[in-house]
Amino acid sequence: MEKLVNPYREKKSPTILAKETAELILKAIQETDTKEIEQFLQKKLPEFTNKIIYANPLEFAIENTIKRVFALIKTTTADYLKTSSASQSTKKSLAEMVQRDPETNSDPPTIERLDSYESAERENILHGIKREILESLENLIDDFDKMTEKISENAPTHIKSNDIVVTYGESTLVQDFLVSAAKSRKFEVIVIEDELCKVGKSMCSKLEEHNIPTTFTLPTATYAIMSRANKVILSPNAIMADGGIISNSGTLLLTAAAKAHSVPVIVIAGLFKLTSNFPFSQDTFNEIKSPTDPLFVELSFPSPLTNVIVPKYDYIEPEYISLYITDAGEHTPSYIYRLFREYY
Amino acid sequence: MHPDIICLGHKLRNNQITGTNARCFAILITLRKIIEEYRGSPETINKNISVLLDEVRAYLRTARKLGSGVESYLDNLKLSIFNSNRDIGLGLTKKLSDDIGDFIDQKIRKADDLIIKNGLELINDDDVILTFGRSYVVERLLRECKKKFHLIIVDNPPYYEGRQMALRLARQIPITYTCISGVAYFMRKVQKVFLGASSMLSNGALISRVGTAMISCIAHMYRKPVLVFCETYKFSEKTQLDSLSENELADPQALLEPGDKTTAINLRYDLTPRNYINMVITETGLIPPTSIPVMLRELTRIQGTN
Repeated sequence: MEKLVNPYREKKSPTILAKETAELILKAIQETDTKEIEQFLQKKLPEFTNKIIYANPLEFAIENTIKRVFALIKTTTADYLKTSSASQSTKKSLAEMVQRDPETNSDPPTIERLDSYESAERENILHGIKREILESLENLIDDFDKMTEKISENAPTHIKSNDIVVTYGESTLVQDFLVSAAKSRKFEVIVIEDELCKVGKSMCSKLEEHNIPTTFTLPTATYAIMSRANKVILSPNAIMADGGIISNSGTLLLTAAAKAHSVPVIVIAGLFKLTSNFPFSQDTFNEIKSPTDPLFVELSFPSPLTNVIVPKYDYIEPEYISLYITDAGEHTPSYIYRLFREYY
Repeated sequence: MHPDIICLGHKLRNNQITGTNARCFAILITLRKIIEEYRGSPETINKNISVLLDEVRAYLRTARKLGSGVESYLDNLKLSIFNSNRDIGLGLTKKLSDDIGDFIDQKIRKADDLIIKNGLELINDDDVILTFGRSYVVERLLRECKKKFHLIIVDNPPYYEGRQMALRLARQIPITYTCISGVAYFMRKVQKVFLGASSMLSNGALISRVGTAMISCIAHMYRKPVLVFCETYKFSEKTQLDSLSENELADPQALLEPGDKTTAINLRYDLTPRNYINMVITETGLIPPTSIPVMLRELTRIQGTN
């Protein structure tokens, strides 16, 4: 758990963080004794996940995975108890009591007091529940691995021959998407550097390894090159409940220029990035970069009146996005709210 | 080739002199010096100076493309040599030297004074002004303004010209310095956007440092007025619809580490379309970008009658 809570840990992509969170919860559940599972799910797990969420306020992937895990636990226990107590119709089979935890606003899983069951039966039921939960969590973790495949399936449909595709910074998901399309199409990619992370060059070299002609340029040239672009492909940090996205600062330049040139913007994401938050402006969910960042090391202004303020994230409204490609299919921004019901 | 010209060529090639006004000034001052130092026969002076001009222009073009303002002025200069009296002799050097001096004085120095005078009225107390990169006129304007305002300087990689501007204005104006990625974060709070120009085209488009089009696009998104400060000598009869049909490429190695094999594009300029620009401030007044061809016509008419 220390890995996730430590504020000085190295920056990892949301996908990796989400997978790690899920694995952590899986391990925690595996290690608890069957007798204590009820206690664990009701008290210890929410406490423990709250700590993680509190330590990573803007890492939506972690919060989302935790919510998803809770939802899974809820549904699997409910299903299990329904099937197991089908024969005992006198007992109430709806096993979940949902309590809203005011701090995280998420539903901790609870299992109704099984005092009505005898202790031996109870032990069996708890054993069964634990097994089911572990299985569904393992499926969830497997999904992370299958995610890229599912998303890249339709890559050749969207990218045509001789297209010029523009992308921002580095993303393994976008990289896999483009590589999958490159198997049957010849196209070019322009990579726009993410000034704050400086990862554009590594993205370029990775694409070049797969024989995709790549050009590297700076965010100042975004508007200039957009007149030649056919598509913009992005991977966000989080998908917001209104259909907009939060992604690295500078992405808004691409989407604004794309809209001005009528270039379609395709956003690729795994569903774990769906966040039930509504941002209203650029600073609702945002952070400023620390002045000790190596980016600013050469700057020194002679006056205390000068501030260096560089925001980390951009919020992009749903009107700037043409299409979402997720592992649950392709959707328009206006449909995103429906996915919440299915996912959480 | 005169050593001053070689020196100038080096400076232009190595980005030691940047900014359209600075380059124009440097080129014309050096040219004037060379013309004044001409020691040839007075009989063939017209032809010799004409040839000298052409050689110098060709050499400087190999170092770096000259701005459109300079090119059109040098064309006029050549025309005036052609039209001048055959018997003028060494008086031609004086005539040309005076002409260049007048151009610098009227079209650059006095023009800037007037632009700043016009521009000072546009700044109000408690304004938040956003500017991009480093423009000589904008910097002077902000320095001479006595009102209380806040400045946001957006910087441009890879040459980071905004830093220079921030360093010079830091002591007297509260500044927020940021990268271009963060522009949208600040745009909401901004009242006006001040931009400098490399040239303005007859279709009202602005050619300026790469990144300016992006800033104007975002300003347009947030409905903020974009004001361009441009001397009339920078107006050009050309028209262009996008940034890529005609542009300058700077050294791509500036974007890469040594040893990187990626293809990089380092554009110098970009084109801001007419509808993103609200007003152009020139020495002749405040005009909309659509009036640029009108202004050009008036100026050539005035020049023709002189």
